[in-house]
Amino acid sequence: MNIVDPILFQCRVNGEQPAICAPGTRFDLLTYSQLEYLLNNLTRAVLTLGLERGQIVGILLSDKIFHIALVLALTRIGVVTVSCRAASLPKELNAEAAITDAPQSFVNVNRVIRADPEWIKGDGGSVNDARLFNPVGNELCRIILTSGSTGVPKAIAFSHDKLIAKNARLDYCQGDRWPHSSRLFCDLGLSSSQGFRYVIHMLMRGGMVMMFGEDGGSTLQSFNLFKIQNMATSPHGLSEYLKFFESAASFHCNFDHILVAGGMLTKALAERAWSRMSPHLISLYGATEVGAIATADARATTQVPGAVGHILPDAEAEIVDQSDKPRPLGSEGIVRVRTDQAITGYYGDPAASALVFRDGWFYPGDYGYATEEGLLVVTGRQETRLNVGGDKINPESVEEVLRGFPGIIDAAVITVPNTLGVEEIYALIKTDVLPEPEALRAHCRTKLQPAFIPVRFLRADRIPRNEMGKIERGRLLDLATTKLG
Amino acid sequence: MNIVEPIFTQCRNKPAEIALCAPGTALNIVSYGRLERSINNVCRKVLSFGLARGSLVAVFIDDDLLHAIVVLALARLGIASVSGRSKTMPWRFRANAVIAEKAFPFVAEKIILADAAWIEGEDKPLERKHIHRTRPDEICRIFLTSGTTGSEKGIAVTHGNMIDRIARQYFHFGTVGSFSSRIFVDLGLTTSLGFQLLIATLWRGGALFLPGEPQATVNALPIYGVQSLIASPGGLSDFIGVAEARPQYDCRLNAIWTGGSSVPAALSERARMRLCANLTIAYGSTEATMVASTPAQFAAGLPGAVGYVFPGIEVEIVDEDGTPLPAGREGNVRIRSKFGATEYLNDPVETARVFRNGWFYPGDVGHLTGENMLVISGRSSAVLNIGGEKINSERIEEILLSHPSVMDAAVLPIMGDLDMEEVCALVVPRSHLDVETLRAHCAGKMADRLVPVRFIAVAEIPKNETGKIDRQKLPELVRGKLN
Repeated sequence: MNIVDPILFQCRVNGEQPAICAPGTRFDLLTYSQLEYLLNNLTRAVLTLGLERGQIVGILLSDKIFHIALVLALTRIGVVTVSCRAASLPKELNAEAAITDAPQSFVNVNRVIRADPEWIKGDGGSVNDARLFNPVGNELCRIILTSGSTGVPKAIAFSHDKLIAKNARLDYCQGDRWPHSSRLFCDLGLSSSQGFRYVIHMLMRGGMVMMFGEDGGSTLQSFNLFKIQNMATSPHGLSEYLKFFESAASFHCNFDHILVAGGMLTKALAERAWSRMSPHLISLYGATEVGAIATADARATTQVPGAVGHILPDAEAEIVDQSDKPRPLGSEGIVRVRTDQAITGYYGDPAASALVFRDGWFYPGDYGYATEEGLLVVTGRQETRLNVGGDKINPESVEEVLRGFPGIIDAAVITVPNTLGVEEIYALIKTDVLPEPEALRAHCRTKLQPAFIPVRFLRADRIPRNEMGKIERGRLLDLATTKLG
Repeated sequence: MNIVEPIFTQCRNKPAEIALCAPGTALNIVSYGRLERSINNVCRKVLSFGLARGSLVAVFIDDDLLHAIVVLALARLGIASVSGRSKTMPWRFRANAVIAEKAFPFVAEKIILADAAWIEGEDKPLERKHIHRTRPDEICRIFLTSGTTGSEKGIAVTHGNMIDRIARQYFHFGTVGSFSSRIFVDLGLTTSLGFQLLIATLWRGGALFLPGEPQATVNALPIYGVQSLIASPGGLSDFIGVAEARPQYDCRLNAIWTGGSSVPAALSERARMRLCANLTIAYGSTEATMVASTPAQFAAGLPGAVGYVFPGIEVEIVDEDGTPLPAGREGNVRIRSKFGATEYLNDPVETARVFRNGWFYPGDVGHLTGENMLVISGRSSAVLNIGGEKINSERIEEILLSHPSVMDAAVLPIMGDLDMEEVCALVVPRSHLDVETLRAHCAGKMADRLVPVRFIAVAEIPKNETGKIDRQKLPELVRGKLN
């Protein structure tokens, strides 16, 4: 079954109900009938692009609803889509094309197709074409780019069947209210595995999914206007909404449940979110490579430092030593995990795969332990990787950008938790004269996602490095603390 | 994955909240915490009788909640279960044990008597050594189906099948039904859909209501804010009868689903008028699983319409030679999907008759519209489908003939109240027709709904040259007698 077929079924029986909404954007809100109309027109349009079943196509579009509808239209004809956050794809994908609304070049694709506003026009009538794709085996449907455990993008490919099997777990992985809620605010990006799956899961069931709209005001007002029940966000996202609600007493926050995925939900953040946003916060630990591993109400996870949730049915988490031997229950070691929905390697990248996929297990790069009750506790990371409220990057990428600024001799970055316990990036800079922070930020903005732009710049006499020239990351925090006084 | 495991996730997260309810019965309400403890205790009990993974156990327990708990405990241990619908069924397969409330003759190595005390015990979690990682191809449940002939056959369902079916359940129950957390299911745990809804509802942390004491059950729906009703057409018509007789009864259901046999227009209209405007009708079977559904108003004006064919399911209309017919043409219905059964257990003859070249032939005649709406116009065999209960006419006739006062008999469906079909019996009596005696004779031998409502004395039963009942002539005979 093509994952778009159930959505078209909902369009038939559920036409007048709201399907998808991004308040204040071009499409604003689509009912299922309108979604069907758009999908049919877009499907006819993409059939003229000369794309073939099984080819990989990158999508980089600013309008979220157009983005989703285009992905669904391409999926209908068997094209494998990958939503991009920047104008490049890993070369291992051998991508045929990129569809974008920005006039730019695109790295590692054969051709760039300009998204045409005319594509949405047409009579909306149903599409009858032999090229509509009905998968019979494990044909690919979607590729997700993940920073993986090293911060370098790697491609994870899902078949139609695998996406459906992963979505089936949403019945029990996110607590009891999740499957019963028909209106979700999804704050996780479409390029992420969860963001994409939550959107299609809701559309396949005939519910309504809302995304961040044109601006904060229209988005926040829409929560209650549309009686949105649940939110899915990252720790960083949650802290942003919390700041708003704490500063705007007249706004009522009526979320039944808030799911926090992609990073550690700290006790400080949970306590303030409980008191202002929702009494029910769900912590989720997992990875794109394997899916959800552990989940629990934040009331349970915040009692044990590092706890990420109870290990789910259909998921296994083992703690092993350096030679992959399982360690006794309760002792700390390297976390390895597996599920029936796990992929077995990165697309076209056996070398990277071999590092983290071994003997049927995936090694997410965490240290931790499990309790008798099946609670998984993560105590640290094997490798350096910055996790900024769910967005992950390796520090070298940020440091490289900083070193590219005139006058900066050397740079090192670390994460420091703010008052809410959400990690923020601080930069230590070796330079004669500290540049204007605004100029530095402007420089970073051209090369980095907003989440990875350092919030503080501290001048240092030297960056501690070992004999091999590697930054001694263990000493950075002390140095920063000294600088901060 | 074992299908019971996700239920334990909910038990841990919300032990104080309602999981199961059969209003007015001995257990009445079972919370998630109690459900967990009860399953653990029953598991220990079952293990103490030496039953192990891979065996098959038949369960005969009248109390639905106890029945559900025992079946969940068996599934958790990797033991396949089959729930009897009556205690006189013919069995084609041998169970390793029978778990029953009282002893009765049965072909099994072991008879184990169970009672409500089974759910009590030390409450502790089961030792790890008894919990295994279930393979997708392990059988969790056998369903008995009257199938296309009305005689009982077994269909084995694996843990993997069940997970696949639950994964696509969201479009079965209409636009609102799949988001309901409190569901009243009047299908029985012995049916494949009834069992699937037990598992799926508990997976999601919802509350499943089962029929208990009739009055208490009707009262419980508004009291506990039950949102959805899922019932066979027969069960739905009973419920409408109760609601129409109690004008003050405030029905607060958000969604109603019915299916399993054709849903008459009168039933659809009165259900929508009195109970809930949001009615979904559906078509499916134990063999094929759920095949099609539609909001009832979409089927109005198209007699026999049973729903839009679901994604992932193929339905074809074929002629007598098996050649597919275009949309709009009437023919035999056949169904194919990766979710359905492919055989009847230990019954190669019946299997070969209805499972052919990967297709299942339910014995229905109908057509598909251009929009893929399936319309059923009749049955190609002598099977009666009375409000979801299927039986072959010949079985009722055999039972009638076993009474000394009956010389010959034939049965047929006739339109009753709400345009629901009822069974009518034509009887050639030896001396005179004693309706009450014959009704009592039938009562213990078949489902209540199948006991003939009307008995008509006739001089002879029309037969063809080979001595078989000429069923086409029966309706004419009844019309003559009734006028």
